Amino acid sequence: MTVPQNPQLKQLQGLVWKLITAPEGVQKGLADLAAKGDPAPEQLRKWIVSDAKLSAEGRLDVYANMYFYRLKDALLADYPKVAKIIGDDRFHNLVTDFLLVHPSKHYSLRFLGEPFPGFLAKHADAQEFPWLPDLAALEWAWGDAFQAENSPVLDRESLATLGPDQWAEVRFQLALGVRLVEASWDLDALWENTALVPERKRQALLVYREDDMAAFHVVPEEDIPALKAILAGQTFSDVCEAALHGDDMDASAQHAARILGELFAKQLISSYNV
Amino acid sequence: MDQTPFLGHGVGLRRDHYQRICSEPTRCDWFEVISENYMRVGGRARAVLDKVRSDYPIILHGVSLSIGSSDPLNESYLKDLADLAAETEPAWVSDHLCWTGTGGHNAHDLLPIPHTEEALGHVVDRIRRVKDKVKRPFAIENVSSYMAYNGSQMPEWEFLTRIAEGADCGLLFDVNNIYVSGQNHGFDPREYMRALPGERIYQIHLAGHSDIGTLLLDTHDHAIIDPVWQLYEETIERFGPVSTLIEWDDHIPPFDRLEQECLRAGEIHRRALAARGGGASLPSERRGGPLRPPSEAVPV
Repeated sequence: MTVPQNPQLKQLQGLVWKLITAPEGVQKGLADLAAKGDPAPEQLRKWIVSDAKLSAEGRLDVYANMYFYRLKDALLADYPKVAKIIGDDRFHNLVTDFLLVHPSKHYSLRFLGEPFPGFLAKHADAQEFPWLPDLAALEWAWGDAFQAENSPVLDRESLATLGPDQWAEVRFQLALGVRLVEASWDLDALWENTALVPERKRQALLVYREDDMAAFHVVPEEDIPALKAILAGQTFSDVCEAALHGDDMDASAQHAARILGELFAKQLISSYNV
Repeated sequence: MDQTPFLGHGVGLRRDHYQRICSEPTRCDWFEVISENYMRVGGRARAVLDKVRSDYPIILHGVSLSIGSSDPLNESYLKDLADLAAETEPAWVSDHLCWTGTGGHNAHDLLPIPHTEEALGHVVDRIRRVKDKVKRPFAIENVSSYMAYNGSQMPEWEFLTRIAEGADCGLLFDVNNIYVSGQNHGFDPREYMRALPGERIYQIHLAGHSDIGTLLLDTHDHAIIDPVWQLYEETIERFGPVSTLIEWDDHIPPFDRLEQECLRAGEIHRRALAARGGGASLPSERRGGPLRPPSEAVPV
């Protein structure tokens, strides 16, 4: 295939993208492409200026370094505890692997790290530190809660006009950024001390924003099913059923109402519909 | 062409300085805000933005518009940007003459565009569409670059000027960037500056950079060097008053240090205007003011 002297914009940008995102640098990336019969080396020679000051490869390497380290810094800001546990060298390699599979697709760097917990769950590092994916999920929820868009706060008094029949069908919407992180490890302890080997235990943490700061608390085990039902937008009737008190409907309703009351107290409920 | 006010001298709004800026008046006339940091964002960051906006004029300065990409314009991005602009009423909105990604991906870097007729027409059309969406005056900024294209058909200053005239938009003239690019590609920054349509320059950026030996890098992590101050003074002598911003985005110093750079820019600006024969320009009275009915004070 003949390489044109004057490429179209899309061709040119495609070449630059391939080379600046090559995981081992521009030169290795060029060699790998050449080995596959890709015209990239000839394209580079024809399309990018090389001069006495610096070669085209050298100039692209500047962008390649900036690409990787800018994104690595963003992921480090999102997952400082994960990075601390595995150390800088392994975090560097983890980021390299991550970016190959999940290059940024959003206009904001804020969302680059969203797939990271799921990616980590399938990565070799999770074999040595099996609590890492859960910790990453908590770190992500923490950052998301801090930055989430503002939501209106529902005044509990506005529910006073609801009749008993309507209550059964009420569905609540929680503030943006409120999330339940379900883990298989004691993340509460690990959050305070990343050097720990955490206890393996089922734990659910409710993450939210309070007074402009991210916060979380461990959800009592008996509250988890009802809380999940509320977060899923199920009816109050379903929430009571999830509250699990056998045939004692009064106890179920009181349990569900207590959980709702705690959410109202933290101003985490933004609206409802019937 | 949109008429834009002279704002005076400002600095970027950075998280490191939130407490200082919100707690007492500063000697800066205005603030520049990175658009993406506040698009669809709430909590403390948004509270600070609203507080700053109530006291100062602001500009929204973006990094992800990717005006030069062969990908379609990101409509979701434009909507979020337009929403933020409607809520915060910046004096203008700006972004960079660059591309940031292709194939639906984002490098989060400012990659240079070839200076070709194809690219020129492409960018002009896209800027016009952006202006329609954002509904605020719009300025495009020249970027620092570390590579150039053999297929370029004109010098960067001609490319930039023809884009601004074709799209009828403003220019955000980054003086440090033409110094950096001039060193990296071997052109005279004064030739660049003199070729620009001064009436379209809404704003100037001043920043520091790093020297890695082979190239200069636009790192925004050092003080402004004397040759860049000199170039700034010559720009004001030539074009008259221009709203000016000090950029310092990494290894960010205490706010007082940044304020000093801002005040120094103001002194040079006044000196340049005196040499030009004009009087000192005063920024328009602070045009903050509440965007919405006063509510309970938000502690920051």
